[in-house]
Parts: sequence; C-alpha cells; structure tokens
Amino acid sequence: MSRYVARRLGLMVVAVLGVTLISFVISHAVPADPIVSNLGQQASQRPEIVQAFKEKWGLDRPLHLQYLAFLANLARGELGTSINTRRAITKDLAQFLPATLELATTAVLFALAAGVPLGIFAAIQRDGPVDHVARLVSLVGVSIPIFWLATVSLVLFYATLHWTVGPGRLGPQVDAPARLTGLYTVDAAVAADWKTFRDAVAHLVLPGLVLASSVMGLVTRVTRSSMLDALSQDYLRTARAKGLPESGIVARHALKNALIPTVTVLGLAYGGLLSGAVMTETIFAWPGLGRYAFQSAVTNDFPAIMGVTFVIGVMYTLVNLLVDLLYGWLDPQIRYS
Amino acid sequence: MNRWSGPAIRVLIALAVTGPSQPVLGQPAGGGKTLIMALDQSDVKTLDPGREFEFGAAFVDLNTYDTLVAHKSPKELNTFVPVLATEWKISPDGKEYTFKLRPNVKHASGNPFTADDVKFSLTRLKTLKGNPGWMMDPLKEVVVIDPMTVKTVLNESFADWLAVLSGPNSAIMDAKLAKEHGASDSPTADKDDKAEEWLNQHSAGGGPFILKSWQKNNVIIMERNPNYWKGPAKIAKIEARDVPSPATQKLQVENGDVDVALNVTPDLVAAMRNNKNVKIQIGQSLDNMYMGMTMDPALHPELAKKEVRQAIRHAVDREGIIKLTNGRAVIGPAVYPIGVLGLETQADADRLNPKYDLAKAKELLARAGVPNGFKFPLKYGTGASPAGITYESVAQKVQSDLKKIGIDVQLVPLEFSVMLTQYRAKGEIAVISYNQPDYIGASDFTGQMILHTWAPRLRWDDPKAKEMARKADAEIDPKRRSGMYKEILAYLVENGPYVNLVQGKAEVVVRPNIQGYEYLPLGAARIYPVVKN
Amino acid sequence: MAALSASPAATVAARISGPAAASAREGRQVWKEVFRNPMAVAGALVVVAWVAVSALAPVVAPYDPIDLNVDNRLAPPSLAHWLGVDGLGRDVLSRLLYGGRVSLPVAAVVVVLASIFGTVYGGLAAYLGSWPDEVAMRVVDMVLAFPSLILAMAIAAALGPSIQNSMLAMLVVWWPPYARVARGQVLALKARDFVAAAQALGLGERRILLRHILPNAVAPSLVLMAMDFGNAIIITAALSFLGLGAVPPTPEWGAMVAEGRELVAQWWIATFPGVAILMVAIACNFVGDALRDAIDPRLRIR
Repeated sequence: MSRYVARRLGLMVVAVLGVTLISFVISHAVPADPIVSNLGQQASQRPEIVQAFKEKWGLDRPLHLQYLAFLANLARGELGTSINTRRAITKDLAQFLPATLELATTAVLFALAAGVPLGIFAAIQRDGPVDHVARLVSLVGVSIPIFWLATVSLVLFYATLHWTVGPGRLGPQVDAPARLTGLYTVDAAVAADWKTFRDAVAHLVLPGLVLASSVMGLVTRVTRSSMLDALSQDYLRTARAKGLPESGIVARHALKNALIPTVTVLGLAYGGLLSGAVMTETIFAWPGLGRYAFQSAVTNDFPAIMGVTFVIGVMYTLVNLLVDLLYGWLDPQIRYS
Repeated sequence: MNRWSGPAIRVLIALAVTGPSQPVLGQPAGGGKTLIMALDQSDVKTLDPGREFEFGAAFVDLNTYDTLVAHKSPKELNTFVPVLATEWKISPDGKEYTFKLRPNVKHASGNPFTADDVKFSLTRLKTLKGNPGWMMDPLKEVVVIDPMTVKTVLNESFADWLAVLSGPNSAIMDAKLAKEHGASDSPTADKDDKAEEWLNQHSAGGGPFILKSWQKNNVIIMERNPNYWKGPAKIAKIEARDVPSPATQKLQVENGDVDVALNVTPDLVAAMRNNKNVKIQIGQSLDNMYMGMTMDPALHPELAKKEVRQAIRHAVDREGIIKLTNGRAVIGPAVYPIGVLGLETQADADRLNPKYDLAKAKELLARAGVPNGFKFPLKYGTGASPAGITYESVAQKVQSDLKKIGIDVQLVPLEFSVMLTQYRAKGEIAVISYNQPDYIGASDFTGQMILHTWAPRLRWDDPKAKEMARKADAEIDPKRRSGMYKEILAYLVENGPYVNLVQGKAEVVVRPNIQGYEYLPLGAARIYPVVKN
Repeated sequence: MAALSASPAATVAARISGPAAASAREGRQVWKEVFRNPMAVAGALVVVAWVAVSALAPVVAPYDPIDLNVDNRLAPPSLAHWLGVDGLGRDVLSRLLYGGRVSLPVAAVVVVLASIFGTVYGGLAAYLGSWPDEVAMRVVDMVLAFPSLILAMAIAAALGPSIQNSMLAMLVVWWPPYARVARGQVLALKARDFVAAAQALGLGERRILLRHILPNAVAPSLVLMAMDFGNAIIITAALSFLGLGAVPPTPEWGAMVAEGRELVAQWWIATFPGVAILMVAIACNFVGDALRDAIDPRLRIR
C-alpha cells in the first residue's frame, strides 16, 4: 500500500511537470506578444523601452532557458514574479487562492446540503413525484449557464428583493480581518471579530449558491444512483427478509455506502470549481483565482500562467490520488500493487 | 516679478486657482466621510507613477500626487493653471521651460518640496524606461537653478510640454522618501530602481490623498493628507473597489452600496434615466475607436487607393454608430478627440467630417475603378471596449454599411492582444482599434497617426503629412498652432488611412448626495473638491 | 465555466458506473424500455422539434437574422418581434431559429467525435493493460489536471475564433471522461466469462476486441453522450464568452446569451437563447437518464 502511494506520488510529480511543460509550450505558441498586452501602443514602438521590458522579464532569453528558469525557481519553492501584479506569484496565490477556496467550499457545502437529501428521497421513492422533482432540479442546475444565473440572481435577490448583501467579499467600510489563513470567515472567527465574520458569511451566500447550482445537480444525481445501487445489494435484501424496518435499512446500511461516491465526485468537481469560477468571480467582484488565471491568460503573463497551472495541477492530482485510495479502502476487490 | 518679464513668451497665471478650503459646517476638522467607488481595475499593473500606464492607476496617482501644472478644467483642456509651479516662462526657441515653485509646500511625509524633487521625478520617469518613459523623449535635462526654481531643457521645441507635465506620470515625488525605499533616477534606473513594490502600497508624494493599500482585484484605499497645502480634503477616505462587471456596478450604485460607479455601459445608464436615487454626470471622454486601412498596394490593391478610402469614409453611417451608444458619443474627422487644440468644438469637427453620402461613395468607387466593390478582411478584438460598446457591434455595423456600396467585409475576430500583436507586426489589411490619450496634447495624436505608431503599421509614409505634424508639434503660439492642426486634419480626411468611428462620452453614475464630482479624461476625477452629504 | 472544466456527467459515470450489462439485453429491448418512459419521450420530442425548426429556419423565421436596424435597437417583445430585438436591432426570434443551425450540429459533432476518440483510446489502453495502460491513463490525468480555462483560451488565441476551432478546443478537453468510462468497462469485461471463452476458443486478439469487447463497452458511453449533448451546447456558449465561437454576424445561442449578459434591463436578449439551451440540455438529459436506467439492469431490481 505505501509502495503504491509512493509510486503514485512519483507519477504525480511527472504528471504535474508534464502539465507545466504543456502549459509553457501552449502559452508561448499563442501568437500574441506580451509586449503589446503589457506596454502601451506608443511604448511598444520604442526599441529601448521594449528592450528594457524584455530584459526585466527574461523574455530575451531562449525558450528552453526560460522553462529551466521556471524549474530552478520551483526547486527553491518559488514561482517567479507576475508581470501583471509585479510581485511574487506565491504572494499572489496566497491572496487569491483562499478567496476561491472559501467560495468553492461554500458552494460544495450548499450542494451537499440540498443534493444529498434530494438524492436519497428520489432513490427511495423511485419514479415517484420526489424523484421527478429531483431529476428536474438537478438537470436545470447542470444546464443553466452560470454567468447568466449570476447576473439574474444579483438582480433579483440583491437589487430587487434586498434579501442578500451585494458583491465582494466584504461590505463597504468593513476591513479584512488580520491575515492568518486568508479565509475571511476563519480569520474573523479566530480573532473573535463576529461583525466581520457575519459580513463575510453574508457575502458568501449568493455567489456560493450560484456556484453550487451545477454541483448540486451532480450531487443529487450521484446520490440517487448510488443509493439505488446500495438498496439493491444482497445484504439489504437479507435485512429486508429478516423483517427489519425499511427506514432502518436505509439509514443504517444503504446510506453509508451510497454517500461514498458522492464525496468522491465532489472531490473531483472541487478542482473544477477552483479553476472554473471565473464568471461568478467576475460578476460578484470576487478577488479569486479564476479571475487571476483569466487575466494572466489575456495579458500573456507567462510566469503567472505557469504558477496557476502548477497549483491547479498539484491540487487535481492530489485529489485524484485520495479518491483512488478511498476506492481501494471501500472496495476490497481493488488491490493496489 | 521683474525677473520673469521681458521678451520671453509668458504664460503666466497670477493666482493660485483654487481658494483655500473652508471646513464644511457640521463636520469636525478631522471628520469626514468615506467615498466608495466602483471601478474596473482589471488593467492596473502598478501604481508607481514612473511605471503605470493604466486608467485605474492614473486615477490613484492623480489623487495622491501633484503635478507642476494642470489642465484648467475638463472643458478648457488647452489652458494650464499652476499647481506646484506658481509661474513659468518658455524661451523663444521653445526649448527651455523655467518654473518657479510654490514655497512652503510639504509632502505628506513632512519633507519639504523643492526643485530636487522635480529633477528626481522627471529624470526617473525618463531613465526607468518604463511604459510611460517615452513621454520624456523631448527632455534633455532638468536643471536646478535654486531650491525654488527649476528649468527643463528640451532637445528641440515642443509645444505640448506643459500637457505632458500635467499628466499623472509626471507626478512630483517626495525624492527623499522614495529614495529611502529604493527609488533611483540614475541613468540605469531601469535596473537600479527597486521601489515599485513599495510604491504599489504607498504613495511618496504631496497630493490631497495618501495611498494606504492596494489589493489587486479587490480594493484600493486612500486616506486624506492632513497636511495638504491647499488644506485637507472633505472626503476622509477613498475606497475604490474593483468591480469588473458593469451590470454589477449599476446594481451597487442603485442600491447605495457605492457612491460612484465609473464603468456603467450606455445601455445600462439608459435604463437608469428615471431613477431618482442616482445622478448621471456626463463628461467628454477623449477616447476614440477607429478603423485603420493599409496603404500598401501589395497588401490590398483596392484599399491602398485614395478614392476607395474616401468612399469608405462617406459610406460608414457614423450617426448610426452613435445610436448604438444611445447617443453617448460624438465623432470627429480623425483619431483626434474633439476638445483638443485644433478641434476645440463640435462645430470644428462638423466642418471637417466626411458626410454620409452613398451616392458620392459609389461615384468615388467608380472613379477608383472598382464600381462593383471588392472584398477585404477586417480584424478586431473580442470583448468589451472602453467606449462601452463592443468592437464586435461596431464591426458588424461597418460590415452592414459597406455592403450597401458593394464592399464585402469579412469580419475576423481575434483575442485583443493577438490582434494588437498582428497590427504591430505591420502586416494587417484593416483593423478596428482603439485609442486613449497618453497625455492631453495634440502631438500625442499626430504622433500616433502620422509619425510613429500606427502610420508605420498601416505602411503610411507620407513626407508631407510628417512635415506638417512636426511643424505643428513645435509651434509654441497656440493660435497659429490650432490652425496648423486643422490643416492636418483636413489632409488626413483627404488622404489618410483612418476612419474615425466613435468618440465616447463618459457617463459616471453617482448617488444624489455626492457633490462636486467632475469627470476628467485622464485619471477619472479629482476627489479633492468632492463632498458627500 | 464550471461546466467546461468538470464535464460532470462524464466524470460521475466514469467513477460510479459498474460493469456494463447491456450484453444481457437486446438493443431493441432497451429502446422499447426508454420509450415507455414519458419524460424520455418528451425529451426526444423536444430535440426533434428543435432540429426540425432549425432546419426550416429560412422558411419559418420572420426576419433576416443578420439585418441591422439601429433605429429599433433593444425594442422589447411585441407583436412584430415576438422575442424582442437585440442591441444591433436584429430580430431575436429569427436569430434564435437560425442559431440552432449552428449550436445543434456543433454539439452533436463534438460529442460524437469525443466519444469515439475517448472510447477507442480508453478501450485500447485497458485491453493492452500493463505499461501502455499506465502511460495512457497518466496522459488522461494530465489533460484532466490541466486548467481547461487556460487551455481553451490558449487555443482560442492561437487559432482565432471560428466554429471549427471552437469544436477543436472542446474536443481537447472533452474526450478523457469517455476514455475512463471505456477503460473501466473493458477492464470489467475482460474478466468476464465470455471473453475467456473466446480466448479459449483461440480467437484472434483483434477479433475479441472488436467483436466482443468494444460493443459491450459502448453502452455506457451512449448514456454519457446523450447527457453530454446538452453540456456541449452550454460549453459552446462559454467559449463564445471567451471570444472563441461563431464569427459574427452568424447567430449562435451561446454568443447571443453572452451579448445580453450585461444588459440587465433588456432581459429578452439573453433569456430566450438561454431558455433554448436549457430546453435542449434538459431534453437530452431526460433521454440519457432513461437510457441509463434501461441499460443498467441492477437499477431495475426493485
């Protein structure tokens, strides 16, 4: 088992480096010059300014040396400096990643809270009214364009009904809590600053729900089908034959087994949420990783593109490994060798 | 005063323009309110005045630093008033500008303001070789005559020098403080200067506000400078929140969560006209969207013909494009904003503008030998433009207009930086692009259109136009100069490679309790006179 | 964009669907089963209706979809323009009808190509086993681990917007889940008796793979495809948002939603194409759901 994990970790390093290499090649293959996206039109016609820019960002070096420089940085635990923010990318990520983590986690919690019960009841009453509602809700959730949902929900719940607070991580004139984790809710709670805590939570609700919409459909679906699966297992039939009450069967036996795939799927969807929250972040003025990645890409900020790719690659492969281990633990038939 | 009179051309404004500030009744001297602004800061890369070149950054530098001189008002851009310089004179050959500095001014740090600060700031801007560094191309050296007098010596006569010095990049820094944090004005400052990261979080100047923090993609916070030489501002704190979505900005200002929304698009503003919870402040932006066409017959034999380009200028329905902005735009004859010297008023523009006339356009095409039209590809950037309408909608309008005279336009959308890269590589047949002024002076526009930016990209090398532009840029008599630019514009309409498409207006949405907010074309607004009731 | 990176249905199916059992059931039987489900019938009807209407757009559309009229821009729905007018003064209904001619075929082609490539790739990997399987799966991991946003944008920027390029960008991020599903199926089937029997009979490898394993592995991919079709339409929309999609003035549903996304007061511009996308996506999912229920007999025991 430990040998298996070690081998997977080794493969993970290879995979992540592969990802960064692909990312490097692709971003340099794009026929856009970082000069035009980072210098003004007049400046980009002045050879001495263009030269100074190239020297400063190492763009005058051959491509393979640029990639080696990235690897050398990586070995020192650094990711280089962003052209866009003019500071260490590790600092940028320390700022943007927690914002997105907080949002994505909220979304996942919402999705679980709504999707799991819905999925369970849908499975218990298969083809009954709850099942149809669950199916409809999950399909709508998966099918709705998220940037449109974000705008509509802001118009409705914030501007028209005044049920929620506005965009951003905190309200106007509320200062961010002293930085510990970068997660405002956690930092505020640690500082026992409950006013800021409430404000941070209030700001998470609407974007969290919007982002949860797609995941919720997923959770409902997976819970339903794995629940159906679990309910049809032999040992449950035995339990039923013994005359145990149905509710007890569901609660004690089926549920435990049915929830595992749900958690797994969430783990995988989580990676997608981290990199894919661009629309929600743009509309909700959320200073997160998605917008950072987007800006890096449109301005050909090579160091930042590499940094984002690296971090997302690491997180994705880690989650993947955990999921696989979880499966082995669940299903003794799968053996790792 | 005598020392300053004589044969030299004097541009002298006697008094400080703005009177001393009176504390607002009911507000304690140290009190005041926070002004909350929604501003798209996606573009901001740095706040260092020697390096920044973005709209959002200009706003911060304009409010945290002072300049030697300033444009008188958004409506009188061609007149300059004293700020840190109290008076100045220009030598008859137009090469030397001598400034007398305002005495007893202290920077926010308490350091006294002297001629050394001027020398340091302007020299650093030049030697950093940063994005705005080229604006110091005319500068040969800065000479400190005495602590309160400084002379800038130019390589040759340059009439827009005061315009350059009014821009946010020419911010006067607190040299002592900046040097303590790694700033340098050495000839190799591009390598020696280490102050950028510090200047992104702090201002080193003496403006009405002090930069407190910048969190990228989140918020910029400024606080009032209690020692400001004109007296402290009425607004105690500015919280400029980064809100990239115009629709979100609209909802926030309607809801009262922000006091000022800067990037609300025309169609969204149109839907707010009857809302009593907001005021719409209209200002004239100097930004232009234009179409550039190649002059090289090898790239496109038809477009390279003068008559064809004239025909296109007569066939584009520019009134229709204004309708796309809900009337929130004007149109001038070239990529040269209305309001700048030479094109001071709408009447000037109307005299020079090519008229919408399909019959004439067809006649011109026939004269060029292509009565049945032709095809050409038109490249443009995807995404929003600063004008509030997309390049895409304008491109589709141009396509539909030119179809009426038989010209078949093939639209080629490209990611914006890809489009710019290809444009810069000088191989494009036709593009739709955009211009925001770098400084508010006529030479900025002739420089790009004729001398060194777009002209080579469109392979336009016209010795006569260049000669006219150089002469006008050097002419220091404003009246004569204005006439020279009118001639250049007429020449451009006749011969040039540009079709000016639209010059936006700025509509800033503010809450009714905000007084004194006025749109500025470069730097959004000065918050110093703003009051929040 | 969440959809772009997750391709959730596929990921889920890859993770949870057990060994296929379609071999036990006749194909015809499955379809009969599907069409006994009223929701699936409704879904199929909606899809067929959209295909028909889009095909007939030149006949049924009231206006020219690319005809500009700036004097009538942003007019709300009325008798003359049932679904209102867009920012350039074009009839939204006409653009919607013509838009189906782009969105529907694009989605179909992407899903079909991705499933073919992914299934063959994953099937081969599993069949060969050992190190080829390992390498192939690490490649899949790599593609999945890649931030798809950056990938799609890079492709958009590198190739320039067009329908073909947008399909290519989608294909690149779309196939790996199919590879995983197919691999899982083949691995399970390899262990089954009939394959062992075929091997014992001395049948050739290729014959075993083509005649016995692949057909049995295809069933779950079919389910995925039905459910993915709706996703593909949504992702075309997301790519249009990034500037990779149909070249204007060609109408396309995703681009239409993107055009109206900031127009809070002119709700009709984004809403109607949004509803069209939603309708087709849901309809496809109904069919897919029913198909899965019919194929996987374990879910039918109760």
